[in-house]
Amino acid sequence: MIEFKDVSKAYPNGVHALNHVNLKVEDGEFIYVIGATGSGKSTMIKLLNGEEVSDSGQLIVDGVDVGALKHRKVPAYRRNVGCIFQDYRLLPKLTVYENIAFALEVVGMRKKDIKNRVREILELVDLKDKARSYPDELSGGQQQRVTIGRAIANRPKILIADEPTGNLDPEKSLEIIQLLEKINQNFGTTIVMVTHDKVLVDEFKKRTIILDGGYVIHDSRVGGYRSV
Amino acid sequence: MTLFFRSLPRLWRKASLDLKRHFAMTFSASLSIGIALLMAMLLLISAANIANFTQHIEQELMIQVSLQPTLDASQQENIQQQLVNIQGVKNVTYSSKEEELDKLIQENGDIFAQYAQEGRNPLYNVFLIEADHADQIETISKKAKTIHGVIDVSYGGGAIQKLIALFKNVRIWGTLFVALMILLAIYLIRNTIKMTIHVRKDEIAIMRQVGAYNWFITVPFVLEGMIIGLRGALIPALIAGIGYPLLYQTMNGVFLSDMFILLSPIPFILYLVAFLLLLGLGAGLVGSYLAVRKYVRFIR
Repeated sequence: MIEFKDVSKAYPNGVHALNHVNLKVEDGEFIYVIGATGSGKSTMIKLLNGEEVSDSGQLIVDGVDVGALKHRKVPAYRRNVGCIFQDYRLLPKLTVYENIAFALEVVGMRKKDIKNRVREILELVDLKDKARSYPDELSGGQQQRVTIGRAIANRPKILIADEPTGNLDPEKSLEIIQLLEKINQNFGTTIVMVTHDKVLVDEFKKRTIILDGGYVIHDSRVGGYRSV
Repeated sequence: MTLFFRSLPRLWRKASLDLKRHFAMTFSASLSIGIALLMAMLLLISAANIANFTQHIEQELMIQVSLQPTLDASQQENIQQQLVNIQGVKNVTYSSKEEELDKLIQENGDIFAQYAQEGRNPLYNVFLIEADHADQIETISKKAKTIHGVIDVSYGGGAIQKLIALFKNVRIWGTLFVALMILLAIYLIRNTIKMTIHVRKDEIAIMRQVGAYNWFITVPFVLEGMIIGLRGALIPALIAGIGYPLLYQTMNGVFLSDMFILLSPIPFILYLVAFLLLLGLGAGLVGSYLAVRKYVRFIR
């Protein structure tokens, strides 16, 4: 479960990115977070990811107070939280296989187990034939699927997606959202997806949270832009 | 901890791969460290030898206190007691004029044998004083001179004193310089690793993103630094290991004169080589750790 308790965050330059945000996301939910640029979406992701710490209030993820984590404890927390970015953030000198395996090496998994797990994941994200390719040999959609594969490799309970379809054309976006839905339904992974994509939000209706100027201005269980 | 040992081969592979990838950078780093350690090595050799010279010379330095020939046994004993009581005196031995003459004949040949007959020996009975430290010799001599019954006090003379003082200075400055060179080596390694890391700070961020502990990120870089340091140390170690024994042989084990006896290459050079290699490793470890620590903190 994710719980924002009166969370505020301002940056040193004076921008109030989040103001008194209260929000509860249950296990296994799939939610959209939408809002204009500068509405605080990215900050929300950074807080969830442990990259930033809130100024006041608490963010509890799975019983962990994320803001109170020490620097050296953050990685252990992240193993439970998969992250997907708009710009993929793959290691360019590693193949698709190695990129996914890397997340498993880091937790000290045995080589044999890694091999099996990566094969499983490649099947899930439909990239079996690209295992030996390097990221720059793949299309955007394919790269994003590698990122998703890496993010779920350690079977995290929560998946955070920061505009995963931001760089993709509508067709590929569809693929990605379908993949995320599959993960959500098959593994019960909680998914928080930040997006700009009106079409997606209207088509695949989910609980939708709208941020504006750092405030949660709408929390719609019905979903879709039209519900606002 | 088990995770650490289980991951070690993986981390090692990563380090060696990085070394290959950044060959030009690591090679130049090794070279500059090698040069720094080369200077340290030369100074260490000179410092160790100078320490050896001084020790030899100090051992041979003695104060000779000549006694009036008219003194009787109890007066002599009294003087000996006074000499022993002077601060800094290690021991005092008596040597009669006959013994002194024997020594002279032994050292300088039979010409002096003509003085061996009764009544012809021009030498004095003497006390030989050994000092704790060479730099106390002068003060001890001055005090000994004031004792009643002493005709003359002599020692190696001012020149040797100056030489010893000079050696002492060289030793101190040499040590300081060696320390400076070690710091320089650490600094060079830190800088190089910093450059190689700077290129890869995104990579480090991604590693943290997927849940790599700080040590998992740090260890390959530290291993890399240690290898760089070791490679750098290899240059001066080889030069010293081959060069010093050669030098020793061509100079017949002495420097200019018998007064300066060189340290024999074994075991001295073995210690030196081991020390240099350890120094390279250590400098690599410290330098790369210092460099990587900052970039691990680059992102929370």
